[in-house]
Amino acid sequence: MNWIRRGNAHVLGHNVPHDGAVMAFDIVLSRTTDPETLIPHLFAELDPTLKDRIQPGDIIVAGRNFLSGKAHNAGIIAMKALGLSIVCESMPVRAFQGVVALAVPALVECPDITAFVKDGDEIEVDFLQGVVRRVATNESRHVTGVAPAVRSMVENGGMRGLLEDHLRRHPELATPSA
Amino acid sequence: MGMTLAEKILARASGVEAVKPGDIVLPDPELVIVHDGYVVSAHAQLSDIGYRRITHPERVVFVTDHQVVYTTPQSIQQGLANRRIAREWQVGHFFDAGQGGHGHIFPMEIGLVRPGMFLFAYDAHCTNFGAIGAFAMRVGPNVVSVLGTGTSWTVVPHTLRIDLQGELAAGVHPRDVGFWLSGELTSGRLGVEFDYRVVEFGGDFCSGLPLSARVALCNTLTEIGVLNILFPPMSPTSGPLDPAWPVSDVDATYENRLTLDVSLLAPQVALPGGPDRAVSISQVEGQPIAHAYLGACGSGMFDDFKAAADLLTNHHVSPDVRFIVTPGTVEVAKRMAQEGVTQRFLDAGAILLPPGCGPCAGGVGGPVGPGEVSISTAATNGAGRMGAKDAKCFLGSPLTVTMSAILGRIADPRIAVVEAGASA
Repeated sequence: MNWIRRGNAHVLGHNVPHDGAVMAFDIVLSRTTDPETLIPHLFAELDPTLKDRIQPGDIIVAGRNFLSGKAHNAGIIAMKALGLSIVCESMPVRAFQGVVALAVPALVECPDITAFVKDGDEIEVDFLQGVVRRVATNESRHVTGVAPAVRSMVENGGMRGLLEDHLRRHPELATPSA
Repeated sequence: MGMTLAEKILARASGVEAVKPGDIVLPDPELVIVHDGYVVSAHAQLSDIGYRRITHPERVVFVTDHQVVYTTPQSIQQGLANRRIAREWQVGHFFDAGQGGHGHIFPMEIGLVRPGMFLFAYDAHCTNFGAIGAFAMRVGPNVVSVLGTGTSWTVVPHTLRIDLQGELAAGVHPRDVGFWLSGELTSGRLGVEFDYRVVEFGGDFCSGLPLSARVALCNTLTEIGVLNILFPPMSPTSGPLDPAWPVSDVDATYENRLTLDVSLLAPQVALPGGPDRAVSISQVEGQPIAHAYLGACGSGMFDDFKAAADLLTNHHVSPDVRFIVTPGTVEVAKRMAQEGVTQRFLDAGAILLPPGCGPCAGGVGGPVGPGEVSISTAATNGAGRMGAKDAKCFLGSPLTVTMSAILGRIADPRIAVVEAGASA
């Protein structure tokens, strides 16, 4: 697990909901979890041109209450598949649980970070230490790092890792019911 | 140190003496509820990892409320798959299409969800069960983890206590209180945190509320991001209180306590975008509508339809409006038929759909068209929630929605009260 990441920042505003911004509600309703299906729709309703500017490994920098509204995860699946990570001013707890479940690195307590990072900046983020640095100017901000319990869940692969562990300990679940 | 109702239920489910806000626990649920829209996805995810069965299938409840009449070729395939998965996993409680009805309501009616119970559910509006003092934890996509392992990590929430005082004016409904409170909370006017908080209701106003009114309050606050809404336990069938049901200790620790008076509240309308975008009805009165919808998990109980039908007496739905009416559950639909409520809706020109979510589940049956204006009792009103993305979807109480359906424009139900008084 790489906890220090460098990439271009895509700065979003405050209160960006999951449904209708990160992922269209009709795509959410399709209930697909296939990243290849979801990726073309990522952020399309927020900014149709954003997806084309995003490179794998980039960092989404968002304002307060990122992924608000219903805590669906289709958009997070797409972000995960693109190797994106998240730095935001705040995030609802339920959305955060979805981010951890999909093992996406995220700093979710970064006050005023959208005023510090400019859209398109190359930034380096140390998720464990809680440092966000603008590469061009070498300015940095210190924020709350990833908590140890969250770190271990993400390093274990989130929900999928947990389910794989459980299946290894309970092999009977791999055989059909009689 | 005392505990709140939420803390007591979580402590018991987690097998510990006490919990406090911030603790991470692994509660053992008595039930796990998944609706028809997520069964196939959950099954695919678990199958992909190698699971061929689930942990505690006897606790698992499949409800069918999103797609009841199969409006697309995909939905009939989904129905077939759900049946196959229910058999394969040997789930304990499978309610197929036409059985039970809305999964946020009928489990209380039939005594499956009981006061003091802890359960996990896929869908956020499981908070309805807080109306009888049950703690249903929305897990969303993490329900896959619950199905596979039996539980999911949970952070013990803070509790916000809200005591409501006073009485509502005639024509004002508990859903109006819900819209108003949601707006007061998200605007910051109340100055308290609500994200992932449990809202615990009390006070004179709440102590006299019937179950349908409690459900209306639980449901309306859900969308703003609170974790849960709890009332002191009550019997869903108006039975006696059981002294074994847990209640908050008198010395419980609340993060915040508010006391609010509802006496002067006017009917509220939530503007398109969310239930918390509440304004007094005078600000939108007169807005022409093409679509009205009565039902969904916050307004799907018998009392809701009875109050609406009373308002419809001697009136007809506007010829410019499609008025969709969806009883929450099979039992509600039966009682509506028995007591003549269904007849009154049909006489007035309403369109009845089978029990379930109705158009609120993404416009499945009775949707809104492009550019249309709707007012409904839906759970929420984000873009595309009930059909066309550019439709304008307002929310109101069952009374406001019905009055608006009669007049073809957003209308204040208090005018009917005035009319009734004048003709008496």
